[in-house]
Amino acid sequence: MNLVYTQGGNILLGRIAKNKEIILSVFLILLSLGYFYSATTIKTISKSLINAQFVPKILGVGLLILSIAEFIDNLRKQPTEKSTTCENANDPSERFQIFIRIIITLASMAIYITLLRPVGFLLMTCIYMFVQISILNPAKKLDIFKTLAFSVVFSVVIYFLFVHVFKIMLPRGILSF
Amino acid sequence: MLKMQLFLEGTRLLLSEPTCFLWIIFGVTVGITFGAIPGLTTTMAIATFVPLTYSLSPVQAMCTIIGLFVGGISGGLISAILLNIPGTPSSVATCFDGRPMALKGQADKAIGAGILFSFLGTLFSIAALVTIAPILASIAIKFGPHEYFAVIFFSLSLIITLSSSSLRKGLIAGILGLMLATVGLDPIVASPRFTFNIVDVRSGFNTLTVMLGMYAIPEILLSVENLKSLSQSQILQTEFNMRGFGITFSEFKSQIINYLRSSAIGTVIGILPGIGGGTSNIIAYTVAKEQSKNPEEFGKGKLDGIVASETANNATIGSAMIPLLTLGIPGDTNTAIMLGALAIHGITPGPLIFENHGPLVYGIFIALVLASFAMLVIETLGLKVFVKALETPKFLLFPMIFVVCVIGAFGLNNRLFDAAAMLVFGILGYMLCKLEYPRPPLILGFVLGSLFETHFRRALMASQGDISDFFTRPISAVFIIFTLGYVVYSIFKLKKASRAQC
Repeated sequence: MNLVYTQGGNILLGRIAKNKEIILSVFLILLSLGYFYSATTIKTISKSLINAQFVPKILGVGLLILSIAEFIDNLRKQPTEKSTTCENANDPSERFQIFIRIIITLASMAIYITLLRPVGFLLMTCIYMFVQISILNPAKKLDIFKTLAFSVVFSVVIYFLFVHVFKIMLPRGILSF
Repeated sequence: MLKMQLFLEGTRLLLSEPTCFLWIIFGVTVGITFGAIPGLTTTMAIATFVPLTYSLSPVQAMCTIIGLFVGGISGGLISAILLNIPGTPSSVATCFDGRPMALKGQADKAIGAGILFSFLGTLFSIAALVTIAPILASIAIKFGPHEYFAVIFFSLSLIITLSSSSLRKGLIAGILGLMLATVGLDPIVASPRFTFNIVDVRSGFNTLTVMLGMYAIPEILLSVENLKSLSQSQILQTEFNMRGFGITFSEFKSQIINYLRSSAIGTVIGILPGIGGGTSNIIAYTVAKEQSKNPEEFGKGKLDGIVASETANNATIGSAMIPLLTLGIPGDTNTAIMLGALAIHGITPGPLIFENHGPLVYGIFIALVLASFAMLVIETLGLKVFVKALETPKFLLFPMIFVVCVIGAFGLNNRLFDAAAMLVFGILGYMLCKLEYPRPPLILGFVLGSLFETHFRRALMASQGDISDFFTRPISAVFIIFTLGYVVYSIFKLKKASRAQC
């Protein structure tokens, strides 16, 4: 990957990471405003105060107040790069690579779900497993045969297990069996 | 005696469907496996396998889930002791003394004691369940919406305050959960809310979808970040030969008080809606340490620590089912999924469950006992196998889990929407994790959200808009005032703590 892109990506992601709390609080403020507005459009039957809009409105106001408080709090605080309990100790220069890996993982998950019905469970699962394992495999060289074999075996076993033993309907898609 | 008769009915129900016993064994085995592997939790196990119970009868479904529950909570000790990584949040405190004991070559004693006292702890809470549940049900029959609202208010506040050091973040998470619960049709008047004219959204989000999204998917994404963790298998190379349970009879006797105390702690925490094994093991460990004559030995390989932790976490199992069965309010995240599973089989837990589904309830009690025995046997005999399972590389494990999750979400209603929603919640859960927002308040806010609102509005409708009724009705008043007091107290404690840091 082009070194410039990677470095640029790292810097951008670094800036985002430093300000993530503020970005989130802004997002929450907008969310609460949108939610509140949407709540006012809910059809109400009763004329009393306690109607279908009541609880959503309260939640919206509550979230608004809290997110404004978070926003102000975070503005005052020095944006620090503390490592969270969830975040593993990552080299900042790797940030872009990790980001790409996550995007690809999410994309393959999304594509898997979207194409599940049209292509069918069996085929799609084989494809997904192969792709996902390849992404996650930390080994330097990818053993294509082993990965393919594993994907196919797993997909077939799971398919028959869930369809015939547990009786859950799974899409057949383009295959005839 | 009526109870005897009900036990007989329950037994008859189980015997009439003999595959139940197989399902218990299946559930326990899978549960232990999930519990033992770090990154996979009991909640994930239950959430992932509930969909396959759809085609089963209610009894069989509950047997499977109970097996998963019992096995899952116990299984965490295996990796806690051998890897110093808690297999589930319920075994965090087991690491403290488990690892030192393993290093001293006493892994067999640690694991043996852990399994034995997991078993005994579960039995204790089952006894509590069997005695308390009918009594609570008879009181709860008189509960009106005010009382239900007060209990839910109490549980939500509890989970929010206990979940994170930032009360505000916990509160935000809770509100987000409540907001998610408002999506769909209004529970009282059925007006569409936040549906944006998408048909699929009208029925709201499904608990299972949210659970799988919030717990399973973020684990996968977090592992993607740190590839090194994906192929690690650092099993402590200790030779251990399990002879019996590894502890002598006199050692066992010395632990009895610890056992009783930790079981009581676990049982009480289990009853409190919203918190369960994850909290009880740490509290029981802390109390055991404080009450011990040799507190300085804790953390260096003291048997008491393991006994306290594993007893308490398993003791939450039976008692978490008390509020679930008698009030329909889940005792923890695992029982929250059970609530959904029961609903799918047409069973609404509540005070009337003993009248309407008496044999099933007592069948559940018996299944819990059977699952405990199954756990004892399977975990002891199959230990070597479970340790092998721990060595499965995560880059194989996680894609498999994801596929099973998709099957679970998709299989609910055969809709793309559910699987897609699960993925969206997965991204949401991942971001919450990265931003240090606690997930439990969101989950419980979502699960309890519609009940919370329904009871609140019904209560106000019943008292014709008069809020004072919440404070004049005794049970409701007790819970609400206690909750308010507790919240104020927590705020003070947090403020003091942060002031002390400056």
